[in-house]
Amino acid sequence: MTRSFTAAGLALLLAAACAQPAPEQTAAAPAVDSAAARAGMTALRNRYIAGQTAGDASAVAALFSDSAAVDLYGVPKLRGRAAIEAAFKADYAARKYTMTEIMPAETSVRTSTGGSEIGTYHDMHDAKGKVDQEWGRYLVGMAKGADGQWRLDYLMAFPDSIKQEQGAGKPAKK
Amino acid sequence: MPARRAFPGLALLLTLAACAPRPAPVDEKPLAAAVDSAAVKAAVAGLWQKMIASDTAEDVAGVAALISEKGRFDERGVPPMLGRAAWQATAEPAMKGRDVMAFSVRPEMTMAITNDLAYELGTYSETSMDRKTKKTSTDYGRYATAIGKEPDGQWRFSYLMAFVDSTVAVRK
Repeated sequence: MTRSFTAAGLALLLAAACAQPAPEQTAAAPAVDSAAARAGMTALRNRYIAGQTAGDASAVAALFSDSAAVDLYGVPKLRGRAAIEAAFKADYAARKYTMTEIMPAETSVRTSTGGSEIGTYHDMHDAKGKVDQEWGRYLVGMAKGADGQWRLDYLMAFPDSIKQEQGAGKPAKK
Repeated sequence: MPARRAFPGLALLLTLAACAPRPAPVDEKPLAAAVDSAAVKAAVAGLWQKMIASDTAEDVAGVAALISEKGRFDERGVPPMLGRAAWQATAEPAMKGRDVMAFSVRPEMTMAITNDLAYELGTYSETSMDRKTKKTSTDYGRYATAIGKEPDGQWRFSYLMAFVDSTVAVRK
């Protein structure tokens, strides 16, 4: 079903792939600075969490490349930053992400400017007093742009389970 | 909701990359080879053809042979499967419980990352009949996968994430 962006909730990506296919090359590949790449990916993840819990769709959309692709369970394919921003804006308008946790399981650094990650996420939502939590898995592709910023090129995610909080939606006892 | 059909045909695929079979060594300086995109894409298409043939033939071993030994498979509704053996243990009962009548894949984007590694996004559909209830349905879903060429020269799924978007009952 169709819980929309749960996942989105996360931050993910696959392989950078999408937006920036590897150029044909014959020269020696540069050394991979995996520590710097991981630091960039971690910072990107943290910005995603901050943007999402702030309900700032523009800030979250800015973390995606222009031609990024997003596939979330229950949500039509999102292709391009504008479509991603519109979808996130609608989601954030419908509910507040009171908490987002992203737990990477495996981060792969393919080059100094590209990598992928798989992991799990946990979001807590408040939709006009109705609170629920969602746990899921994600896959993301990330790439470092010419401006030095790491961005998401691809995100796929789906919820594994959704738990309704007890008492959610009921009036508080006085 | 549908989405709990154990292994949409796809069921089969792979694991990833994250996990790519032979990820570029980190902190090393390998010589980069020119990427023959056409050859890589042809290999990926060939792998899918084998997958479709094995899935519709309900050939569990045949499908398993197309999955990297250390591959990973993340499908909604199924715990993460780490390795070919784990995939087979999970998929075999599911495959035996149904008759796969058709399975098709529609790649949206195939990226030749190196001559030994490709990433692909796409959609799939699988029509099957539950052997117990005799009900036929078609699952429609999306997938993202990493496919690698292994030391034996064979291309295999090294990672796959997939979920079913909708399931439609099929009138017989």
